[in-house]
Amino acid sequence: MSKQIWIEKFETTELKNPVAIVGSPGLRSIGKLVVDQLIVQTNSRLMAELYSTHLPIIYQTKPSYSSHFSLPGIGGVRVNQGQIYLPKVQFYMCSSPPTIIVRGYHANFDGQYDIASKVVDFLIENGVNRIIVTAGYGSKNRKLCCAATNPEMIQEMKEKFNMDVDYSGPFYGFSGLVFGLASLKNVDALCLFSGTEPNFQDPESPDPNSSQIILQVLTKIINLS
Amino acid sequence: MKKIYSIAAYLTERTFEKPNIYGTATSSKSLNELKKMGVIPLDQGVISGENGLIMGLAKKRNVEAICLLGETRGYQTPTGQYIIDAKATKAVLNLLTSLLNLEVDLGPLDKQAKEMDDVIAEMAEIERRIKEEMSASSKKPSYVT
Repeated sequence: MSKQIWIEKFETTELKNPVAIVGSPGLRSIGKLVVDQLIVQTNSRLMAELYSTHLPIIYQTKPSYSSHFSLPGIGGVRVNQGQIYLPKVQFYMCSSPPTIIVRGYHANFDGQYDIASKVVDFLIENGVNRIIVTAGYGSKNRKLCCAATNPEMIQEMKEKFNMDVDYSGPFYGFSGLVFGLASLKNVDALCLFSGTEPNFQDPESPDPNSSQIILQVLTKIINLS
Repeated sequence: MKKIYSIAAYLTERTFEKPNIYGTATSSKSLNELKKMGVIPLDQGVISGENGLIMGLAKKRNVEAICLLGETRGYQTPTGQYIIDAKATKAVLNLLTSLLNLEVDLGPLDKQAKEMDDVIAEMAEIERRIKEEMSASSKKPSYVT
């Protein structure tokens, strides 16, 4: 197989200036919980799926987002209720408000940049000029903070939602790279981090209370009732 | 090509006389046919490696595919080498030959199964002896590192 990353499109979007919401299984699965809930609540339709030889079904690293150059993971499929699923990144679309929701998946070390880049390019092709990335950060309290590609967005979050830029440190995996590459490709990107207590035994164990905090603010930002 | 059969292993910890055959398919029709042959549907799990990828990519290309997974305890030698599980292989081949209406001499697998039983029995005996010696010895090491 010559191609290593490919996108299968099911629907073409005619959304006007959609905002993209991005989440992936990361610290306490906060980003994943946010996008999963948004997809259900907005009745979003699946518009495309990204497949890649760089998406493992079994990670050799724990947590899944701590990729390592010598541990590429193991390929394969997931079986659920008799159905077979290849690992993938999914793109959902919602017309009101115009939104593209990205259900991320962590790639291995070799493919992570190319996949995140392909995701950002796909969003740009579909008219996205603002990306909102959701994730968690290690904290004893569930406080929301933000980061952004420009100071105006940070100021806006501070004025409207009393949000600070409390988190400093690395932003691992799929969502971190989408955020970083959006910046390089001159797309406005805002990151909403919700504080969550790390679970060292199972770093990706879900924290739905923390994801709810992001959802409450996110729905106001994108005008979703 | 009408159909792809992918053969894989189903790792288990249970003790059994006869291995089960688990299965999944890209269509419910094929899965129902497998059930009639005594195959246990794989409801949840991961099929790793080539066997799984063949299933996933066949589905993407609308090619009918069936995965048969022979139950095995995944026997390993003390150095971590997997021992061929001829019993699981034979169970899957029995089913596959029925499905494909093929005649295959499975005799050589019986010989391999016997060899496998001997190796496992030998390993169990070594393990038993080590445990026995460890419990009999109350001598503590006379050094620290």
